[in-house]
Amino acid sequence: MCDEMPNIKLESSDGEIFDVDVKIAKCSGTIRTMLEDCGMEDNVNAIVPLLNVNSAILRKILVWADHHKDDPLPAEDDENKRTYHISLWDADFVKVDQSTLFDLILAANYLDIKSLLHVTCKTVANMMEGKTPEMIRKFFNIPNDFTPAEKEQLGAENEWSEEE
Amino acid sequence: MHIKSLVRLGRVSEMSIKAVVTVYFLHIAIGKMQDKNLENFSVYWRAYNPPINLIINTGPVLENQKVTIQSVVVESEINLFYNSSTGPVLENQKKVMYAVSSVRDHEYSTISELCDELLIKIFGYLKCKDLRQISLVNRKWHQLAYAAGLNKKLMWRIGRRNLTHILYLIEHQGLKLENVLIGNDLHDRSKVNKMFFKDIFKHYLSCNIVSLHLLNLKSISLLNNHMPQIQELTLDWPCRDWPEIDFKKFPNLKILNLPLIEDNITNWVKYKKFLSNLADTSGIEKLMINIGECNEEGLKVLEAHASSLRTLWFFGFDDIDLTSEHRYAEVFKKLTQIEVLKILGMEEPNAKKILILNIEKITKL
Repeated sequence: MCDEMPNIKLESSDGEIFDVDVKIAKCSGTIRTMLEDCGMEDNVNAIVPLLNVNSAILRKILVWADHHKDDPLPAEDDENKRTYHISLWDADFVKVDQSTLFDLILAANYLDIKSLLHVTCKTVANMMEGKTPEMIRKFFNIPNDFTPAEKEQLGAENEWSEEE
Repeated sequence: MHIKSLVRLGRVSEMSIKAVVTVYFLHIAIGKMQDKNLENFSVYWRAYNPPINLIINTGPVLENQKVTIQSVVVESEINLFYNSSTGPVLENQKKVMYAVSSVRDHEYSTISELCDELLIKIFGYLKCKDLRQISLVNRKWHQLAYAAGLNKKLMWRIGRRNLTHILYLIEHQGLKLENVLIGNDLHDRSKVNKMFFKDIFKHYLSCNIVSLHLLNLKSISLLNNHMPQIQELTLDWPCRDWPEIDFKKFPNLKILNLPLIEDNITNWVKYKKFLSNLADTSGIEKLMINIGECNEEGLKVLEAHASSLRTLWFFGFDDIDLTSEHRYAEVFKKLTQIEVLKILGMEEPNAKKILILNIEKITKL
């Protein structure tokens, strides 16, 4: 089945062309819509330009898509994302430096790959867990722009309590 | 290193390339250069921290010259000046620029490049303890953490300390709270606070509230307000007194949690009244109730909500006499939708049996 599927060409932002199995490319909601809307499905020579994804990231994303090509499409409402389990392979896939991780998030968002977006965002959230504000600033290199007066007020802030 | 944008192409002699990078290791190589040209190549670190300016002075620029910067040790903003002072022609410089941008192998991004929507998504995975830390990182995150908290429908505890802050958020940022827990401390001291809060609640909060959790009987007057959206109400106090509540003001109420522990309900007369008001409505799907000595009123409540009840926590007494046994059986037969039933307080198996035997389908006990 896989071999019979036509290939399409994806062009990264820096001009590299990737020859990709349509089935793999369709992991991306954006590409899926593009192909369906433009009736490009039968056009073997179609080149899809991906202006926001560079070749290094696209290469990585294709590895992801290849590994997940047989996964069922996620349901529209991902309400159960709390229980959604991150597989070992996925956890390993996102063991990259911060910069690459953020690029993957941006690309997953742009390409509309929900499962990848979930895994990458959750990974970033895990990095924030259990850290103080100062540790978070240091870790992500974020300047603190609160004025001293604001800082004082923050001491008397609202509280959340987790439901249940 | 990916040089994100070529910010300025100087007249002829200088161009500066500015990139925000997070990098760990510096390796600079100029490819396809003759050895003699290599002498002209130098790197100046001016280690202000931050930013660090990295100046590459290459001398005459050759065609096909390639500059590869793989990575740098520091984490900060880098200004990269590509300076060819001897003045190659513009066309050549363009080629160099192209070389610079085409040999890049990495894009270095920071978290600041993520849009608000993505940050909120990330924050959405955090528990409220961490969300609170996040809200103290900087101004933007402060706002986004609130948004994430609201998205997650976290319950807001309103207490004395944060009352003014919440009012501020409501007034200036149109904050709409859906899930609210009214803290005990709101009633501790000042009457001013109490009146003040009553007012806020009436005018700003009551119309949006979906879930309300009251910890203190003194908060009960809040229930005089119309709450068209409310679906879940929890009354959680050691109470000695029962107020009258007009449940018709909460047309969408689906979940009602009443205190279960019997010792706390001492004023049975008032409790009966309270229950009869409840029996005047219908539509509740989940109910926690202690009917105590108010057998008849309690059963009426169950009867009124029988067709919608799915979950019932029922606290009753053992001593069911023959007449009430018949009545119990009659009422419990009507609970056709029940999926979860939890019976508390009834030790005697016989009493439980009466209830259970009369229910058709139960999934969990």
